[in-house]
Amino acid sequence: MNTSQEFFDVVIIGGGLGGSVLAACLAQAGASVLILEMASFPRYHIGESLTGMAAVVLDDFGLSAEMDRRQFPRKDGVKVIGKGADSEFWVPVFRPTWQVRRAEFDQILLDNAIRRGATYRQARVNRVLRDGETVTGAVYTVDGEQNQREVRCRVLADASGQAALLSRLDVAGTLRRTEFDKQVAVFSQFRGARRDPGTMGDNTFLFYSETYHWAWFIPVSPDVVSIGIVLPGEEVKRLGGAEAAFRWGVERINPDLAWRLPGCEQMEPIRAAANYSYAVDPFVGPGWLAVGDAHQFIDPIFSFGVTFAMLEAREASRAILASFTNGDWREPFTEYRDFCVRGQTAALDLISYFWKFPVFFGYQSRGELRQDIIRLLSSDAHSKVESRALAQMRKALRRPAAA
Amino acid sequence: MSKPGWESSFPTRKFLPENFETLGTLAHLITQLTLNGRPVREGETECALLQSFRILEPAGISQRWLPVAGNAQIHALEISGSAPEWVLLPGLGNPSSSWGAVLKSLRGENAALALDFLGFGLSHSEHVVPDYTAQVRAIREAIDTAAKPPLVLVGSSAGSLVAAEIARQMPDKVAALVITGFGLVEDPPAWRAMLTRLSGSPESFLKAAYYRPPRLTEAVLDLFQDVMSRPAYNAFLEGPGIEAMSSAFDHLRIPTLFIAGREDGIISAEAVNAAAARVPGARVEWLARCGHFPAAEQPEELVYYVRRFLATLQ
Repeated sequence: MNTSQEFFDVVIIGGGLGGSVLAACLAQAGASVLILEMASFPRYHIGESLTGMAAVVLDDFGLSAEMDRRQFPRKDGVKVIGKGADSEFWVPVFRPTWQVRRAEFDQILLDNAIRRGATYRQARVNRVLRDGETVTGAVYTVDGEQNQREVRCRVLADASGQAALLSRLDVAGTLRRTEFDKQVAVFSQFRGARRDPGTMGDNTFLFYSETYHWAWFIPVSPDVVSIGIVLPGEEVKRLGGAEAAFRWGVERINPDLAWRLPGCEQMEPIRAAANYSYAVDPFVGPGWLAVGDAHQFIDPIFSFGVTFAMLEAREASRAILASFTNGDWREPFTEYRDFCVRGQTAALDLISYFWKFPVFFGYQSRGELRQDIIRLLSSDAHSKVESRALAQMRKALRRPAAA
Repeated sequence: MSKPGWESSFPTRKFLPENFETLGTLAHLITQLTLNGRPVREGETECALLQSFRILEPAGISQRWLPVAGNAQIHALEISGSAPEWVLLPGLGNPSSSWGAVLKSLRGENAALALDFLGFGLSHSEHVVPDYTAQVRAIREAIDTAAKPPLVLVGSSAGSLVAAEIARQMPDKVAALVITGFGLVEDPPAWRAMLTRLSGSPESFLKAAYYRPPRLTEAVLDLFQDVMSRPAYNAFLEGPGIEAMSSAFDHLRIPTLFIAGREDGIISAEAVNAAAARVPGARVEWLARCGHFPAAEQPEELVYYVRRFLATLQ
């Protein structure tokens, strides 16, 4: 153990987009911040489609021009192609945003955090330090070093993504599987797949087959698309694993997806992500909180994950700064928790409604609830006032509003 | 199919009225489902047309009748909103409610006016069968009465021919012209002959006009035959109407956007490109999996492309 003990106001586990946005907001406000990231950046990551509210965060950081300079395809909406390609509908975004190559995008956000004053180390967090119930720091190992180091902090933030580290270290609650947990995504990137003409072809395309059987087709550069097949886990097993399930999905999920692939070049191995949906409760406590995937992940069909992590990170920074001012974590962290729960519950209800009533969803997204649905799909889902669309969907699902 | 009522089966699940926006839309869906596959009853065609207007009312779309010369009246669907106002001209034989999905998308944002041509929808002229020239005159008069410039003129199919002519006549009032389902018809008699051949078989016509053709139910067949037999239909396609086609895009000095379905079997891609080549600075957007009527098959996409185009003009 290295005896020299460091102190930062906030230590963030994970330098992905949630951790980087949190670090940038805090550093910008004058807090001292240490990011501990296990992986060597840039690194591959799934989750390429942003929703409208992400553009607000990027704009606040002055990063919009950089996004265009990188030629990330502009996302103006989502096209859903129905079973057998017999129907389709398109929902415009509330605010234009981008579809990203995550290795580059996460690096942009990490660089932004460092530029604003955050300290970054490639390191693995081994355990947390506590003073009674209060988390006061972490013990970590820097990549390439033998000795462990110790760092003290006022707040330890978990932005470790699906690793959900504070849950695994028994600081946060137990990770519990939720509604869509039996799905598995198998995915890769391809060069030269057929797209729709014009700027329409830059949008996110979703191919629907039947409940819990769908595919994404997300352009991430002028000639590369990310393609993912999502199926129930049992189905992937029955088909003989990730490779076989991917091939099956491309051919069988939807004829319009099958039409897009002949002759294109696969650029990555087929990857799989299983046990998709979960929640951790509690995810805030004395001296700690969790952001984004580190406490909840839901069915990715409407691409909420990335944007939610960014919005939660921004909100977490406000909560942390307020706790410094107040000298007490309870109120601001509880408000942060409620913010996250409202958003995640709204997303969950929207997605459940889509799966249960896909025909109505398509119909209503063109009707009186259009503006509400467009706002929700942009991840503008955290309002304390329940929208009419959510109220109607919850009534149909027989679910209560979020607290 | 269970009986129409508060609990119907669609397609296999139970649904309840709270899943739907309004009782009007629910009732409409049930009627549509009930009609599928059974012969239409007497008087139901008119009912379907009237109903297509009625179901738009709960969506905030109102109806009005605009008096025009010759003791005639143009029927219009209208939504309020901000400038520029969109003026929507349907394809020949289509009612103004064929713009229903577009109007719903615009609601709460732009003002819009969708018009029925004389002799179609709920417009009527008492004394004469209107030809192309009379239609242009009447539509222009209706626009002068009811629409506030700057205007975005959007035409569908033959409605595009009228939209282009009006844009040429009143360039100061038109901010942009949008042509859908139409192009340069260089040999109008040959094109007319092709249309007549297609129209001889409703099934072939629907297949040519739509990427995903509606099922040819008795009700659809009845509507189709009703349109084809209307005196105003043939009057439009004779004389001045057919003559105007080959010069429809000459001397246009309005920012013009063409939105074309890649699967349009009525107007070829070459005709669209040839028309765009005649209009300085015109832009063409192609819609995959879309036929002759983008307003019907891809209304949101149409609105998206028009908005993008308007943004480039600012």
